[in-house]
Amino acid sequence: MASLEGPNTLGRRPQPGAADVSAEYARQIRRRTLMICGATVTLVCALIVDILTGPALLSVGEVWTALITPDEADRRTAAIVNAIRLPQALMAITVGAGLGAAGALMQSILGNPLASPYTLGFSAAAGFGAAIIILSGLALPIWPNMTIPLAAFVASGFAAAIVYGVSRLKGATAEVMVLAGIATLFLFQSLQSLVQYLAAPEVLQQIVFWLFGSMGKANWTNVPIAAGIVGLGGLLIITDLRRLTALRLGDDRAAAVGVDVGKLRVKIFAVVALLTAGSVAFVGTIGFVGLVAPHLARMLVGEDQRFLIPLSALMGALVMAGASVLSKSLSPGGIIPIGIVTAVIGVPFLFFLLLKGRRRYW
Amino acid sequence: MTLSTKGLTVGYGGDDIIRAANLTAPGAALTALIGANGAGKSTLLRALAGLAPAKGQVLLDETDANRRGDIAYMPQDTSASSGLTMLETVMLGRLFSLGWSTPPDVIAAAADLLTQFGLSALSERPLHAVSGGQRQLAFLAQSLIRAPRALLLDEPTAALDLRHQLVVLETVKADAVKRGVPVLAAMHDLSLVGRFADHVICLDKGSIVDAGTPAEVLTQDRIASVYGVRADVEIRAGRPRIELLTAIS
Repeated sequence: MASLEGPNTLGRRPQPGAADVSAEYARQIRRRTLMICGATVTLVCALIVDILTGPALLSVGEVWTALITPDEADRRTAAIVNAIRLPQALMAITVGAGLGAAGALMQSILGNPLASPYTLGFSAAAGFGAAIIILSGLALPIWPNMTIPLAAFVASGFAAAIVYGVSRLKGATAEVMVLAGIATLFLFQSLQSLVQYLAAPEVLQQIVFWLFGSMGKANWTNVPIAAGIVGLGGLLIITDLRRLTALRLGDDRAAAVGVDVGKLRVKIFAVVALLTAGSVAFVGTIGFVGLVAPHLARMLVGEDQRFLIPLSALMGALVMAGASVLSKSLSPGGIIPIGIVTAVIGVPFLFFLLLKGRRRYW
Repeated sequence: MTLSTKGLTVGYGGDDIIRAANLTAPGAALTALIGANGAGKSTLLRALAGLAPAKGQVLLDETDANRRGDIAYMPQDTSASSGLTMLETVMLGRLFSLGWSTPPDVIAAAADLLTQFGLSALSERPLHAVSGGQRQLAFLAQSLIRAPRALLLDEPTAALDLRHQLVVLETVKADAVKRGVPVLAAMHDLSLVGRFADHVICLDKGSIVDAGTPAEVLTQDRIASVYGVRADVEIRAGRPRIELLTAIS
């Protein structure tokens, strides 16, 4: 069989042998695994800092006692730590993980580095669902606190159904999905604006606050639900990560190696809808995490989706934990809605990613 | 192993692009699929690979082929914005052998192919950071790693420099002979067809208009009627040498 070995192939350096290539690949896999472990450890540290931070200025010892032996802690301290800070910190990393994974999945199925969980209008629809319930004052008879999240979730699912329905008619290609999604995004943004236009000033204030995105809505009822939805989303795609990696070669090449591209894209799309709706329904709109986290992860581990998706989730959680700490630190004695912080730190960071770079990551 | 079709018809939205094609690509040989732009070469290959809606039969040794499993297909497009590395790209050819972890034999086979193609130094380089020709070689390796029962290539030398064109076709032919499998390649460069192909199938406006050895098919009249080009054809050692002269107005 012919060989390319020769004087003018790839310069004068001797070519590594096949064993060297295999060994280098093994090193890369170890490095990526270490990245995941490192991100996990960093996230645990960020979670601890998040719990330690807040307007109540509690000491490390007080927080520790309230967490480990709440019966021995001061009642007020125990309440602040266990009923407010801990669920809020857990909600922040849950939402961050959901949005980070959803962003990476979206970028992979659409083949577009600008895609995020919000590209297809799911989040705008959630905002509309929440806004219309706040405007109408409707409440579920048995679980009134869940009315707004449920409406946000249902509206988000409805947006997903619209995009799916339209794109399915045209073979579920990335281009059709993006177009249908952007149209859906504009539709629900307009409907949101309409609801805000119709609302009385005090109702408008509530709607706007919901849309900002805030961990203030987190409690021990909704944290497990959000975590369950995000966990379910992760389980649903775990066996698809190899096929998703192949999809990064383009539709034709993925199909050539045996991927049912249309089916995979629709499934991942449904999981993204679930992750996004599950994340934003409880805390409101959180911008930029779903866009930035996958790019951070891609810089560290490349395109192999076995590593990219989990690390995007970890990076999303890390960004949210960091934003949560900042939201409590920037305004002494107060808390800025986290949705504002993520956008304010996210935009310069995205510019940094765009402008930096001898290496391309996409 | 012989790849053949019976009455293969391919169409989108009611218009037939390929009409009732009966072709045969014998094993251990390179069969070139030639024809002008728009003749239906890529569509025919996609249909054979099970990627385009088709009626009719695709057979491997007279039995229905499992088109997604038995037949490897290398698309024409060599552009790639992917950050996947060269090694990862090759390994994806064995997608269905890859579990959560990558079997060592798949890593070794991919590393062997990259080494054989002189690309081992680029194994961890992302696809977007190598040349179109190097990507093409990685995609060819991706097809070969499957050890398919038939290999379909859509313009395999289009993005390659002269040396790599020769190497790719020599490699493909050697693989076909070694494993006794048919290779069907859409090709534009008639000089390469004349030199490397064992058989030629000529497609014009969706129909097979000629098939045979290169010397039988690559005649002045056929080149003029299919491509609208005047050419000198000289047979040396049983193979046609072609010099293109002018476009026929």
